[in-house]
Amino acid sequence: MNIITIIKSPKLVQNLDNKNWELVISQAKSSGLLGRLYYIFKQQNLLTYIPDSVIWHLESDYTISKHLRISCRREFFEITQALSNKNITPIFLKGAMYALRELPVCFGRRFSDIDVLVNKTEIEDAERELYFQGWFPQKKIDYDDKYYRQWMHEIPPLQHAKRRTVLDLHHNILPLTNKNHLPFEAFNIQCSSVENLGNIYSLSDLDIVIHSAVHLFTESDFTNPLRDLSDLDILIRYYSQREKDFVINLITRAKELNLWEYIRLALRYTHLIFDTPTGNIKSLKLDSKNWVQAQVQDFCFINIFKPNHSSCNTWKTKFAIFLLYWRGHLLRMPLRLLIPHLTRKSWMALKDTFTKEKEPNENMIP
Amino acid sequence: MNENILKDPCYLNIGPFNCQINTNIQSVALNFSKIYDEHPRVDKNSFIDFKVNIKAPNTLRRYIKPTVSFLLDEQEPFKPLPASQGFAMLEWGLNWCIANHAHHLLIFHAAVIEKDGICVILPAPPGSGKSTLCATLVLSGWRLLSDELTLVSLKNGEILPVVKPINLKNNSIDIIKEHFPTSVFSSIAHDTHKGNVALLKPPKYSIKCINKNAKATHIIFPKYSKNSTLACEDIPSDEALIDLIKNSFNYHLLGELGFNALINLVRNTKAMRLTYSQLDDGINFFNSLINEYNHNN
Repeated sequence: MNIITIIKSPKLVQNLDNKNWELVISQAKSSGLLGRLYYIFKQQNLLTYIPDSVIWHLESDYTISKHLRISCRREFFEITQALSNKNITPIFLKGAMYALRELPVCFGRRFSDIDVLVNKTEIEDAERELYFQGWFPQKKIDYDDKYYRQWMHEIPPLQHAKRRTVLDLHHNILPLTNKNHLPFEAFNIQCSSVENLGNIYSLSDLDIVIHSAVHLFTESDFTNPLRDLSDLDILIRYYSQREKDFVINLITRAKELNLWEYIRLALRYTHLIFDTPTGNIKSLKLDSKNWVQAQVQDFCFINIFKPNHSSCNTWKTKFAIFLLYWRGHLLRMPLRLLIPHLTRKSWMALKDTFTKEKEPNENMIP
Repeated sequence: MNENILKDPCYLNIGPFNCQINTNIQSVALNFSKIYDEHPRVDKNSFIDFKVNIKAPNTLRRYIKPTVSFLLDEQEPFKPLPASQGFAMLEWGLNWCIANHAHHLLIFHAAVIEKDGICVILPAPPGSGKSTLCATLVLSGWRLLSDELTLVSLKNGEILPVVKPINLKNNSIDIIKEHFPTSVFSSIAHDTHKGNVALLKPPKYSIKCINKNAKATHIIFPKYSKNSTLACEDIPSDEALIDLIKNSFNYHLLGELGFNALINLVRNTKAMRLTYSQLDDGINFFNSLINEYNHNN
């Protein structure tokens, strides 16, 4: 029993016993897919098949994601207002953007930060205007700050002093140190009019999928790999329904931006794991040119795109995580920068275990 | 009872939730059987809401400055605590599980008790004496629905009992033991974040009514004030509403459903603030509510 099977064939819920339900809930929870499952069952009119004792687990997670979606609207107003003082138009990315535009991928999906893209030339002004509205850098450590500003595609996260919302201000979708780095102007922007919110700026449909693929396939610390792949599955299906040649256009666009490898991986693994319709696979030549690289990639990714659960994790999962950790870091930074960086971070972490004061468990004790 | 949670998990019902409890710590197992021996059990093939494990690490830390960890499913949501707090950690952990997951219910940080048709919600921040007052009432004939978590159904506004032991601290432990010598307590956990803590077993009658919902009639904000005389003040609905929100775990998540449930709760109850110092005065006051209710109905 595996939640991937359920996602591909939701009607299977009609025959699940208590212990299977426990496994489904447990796998979904640790994979960040509990709310999404609720949404899938709701869309397919399967809620009546779920026992009352079970359904509240799914519904509760959906409730949290709904709350995040609604709260995000306020942040949208606050952020656009602050930036408008300097005529900066923020482009919303990822989870917050899905929620503001109510794309199908947002229902049941949680997100922790708000991601916004501005031009690098506008970053200083943007940071200042946000600062005046109560957005302060989170726990500033000089080295981390330098790492972000010098090399990364985003500044260190900002947090609102009162509301505690976290805002990631990006000036690109790839770090400066990534060999595929592109200028801000290379991306296409679209404007959508949303009821009660007004105009929301985001990447174009094709670039949204490319961004999601790039983000997933340059990861080193995979927190929700199956959820992220499921996002891609839903996005590709959604856009393919609206536009017959979406996948073909996606490939063309990715090659234009020199980001084809990320889309190749996205199409290959969404199809392998979720049966995402990606057109005629053979004609698209989705396999890697390098056979050895393809075997290693398959090993790593097939073992990471699984529920994060003891029922699915094996020694292969651990090894895949190890390999992908290095792959992600190497993609983001060349070796000559990476080694000193990781050495520095390890030393800082070691120092912290000896010097940092232990905080009490405030969340827990009444 | 032949159960031994050191060997086999216990499948426990605490009202609206089924829990699977495991531990590898002797003191936790002993306290568990002392406090929970009269609680209903469910079949192991029932659907289990929370799989919980109180574990001592299998390393040297088991013996040197020993700690315990709380696990829900396979995740460890908190930092470990000193081993002597093992059973208390189980209780706090279960409360956390409910407050952080059960968003099909509106949940308040409040005690809730019932007697003869009067159902009182007692919201109170720590230090108000709520638990001592609650323990006194519950050992004097009132039914315990909950000591920490008031669960309100979003469907029909009813209060769902979640009968668990009452958390008492420091002097309260001695006061209750003295007034009620037959009361059953867990061992005392010393030097917790809040001082000495012990858990009081709920009376048989409260456990027996574990699935009997109630409709709230009163919301009373208690405040222990040393050497004060008993004083009770009616408060307007809007003030009660705001104070209830302040004492809610998940109101902010529930949107319109939560709002409607809260409005209905406040509309159908009488809200008061109660200042007291003598527990006997407290008992008399609460019992007088019953007389007043019977007189009016």
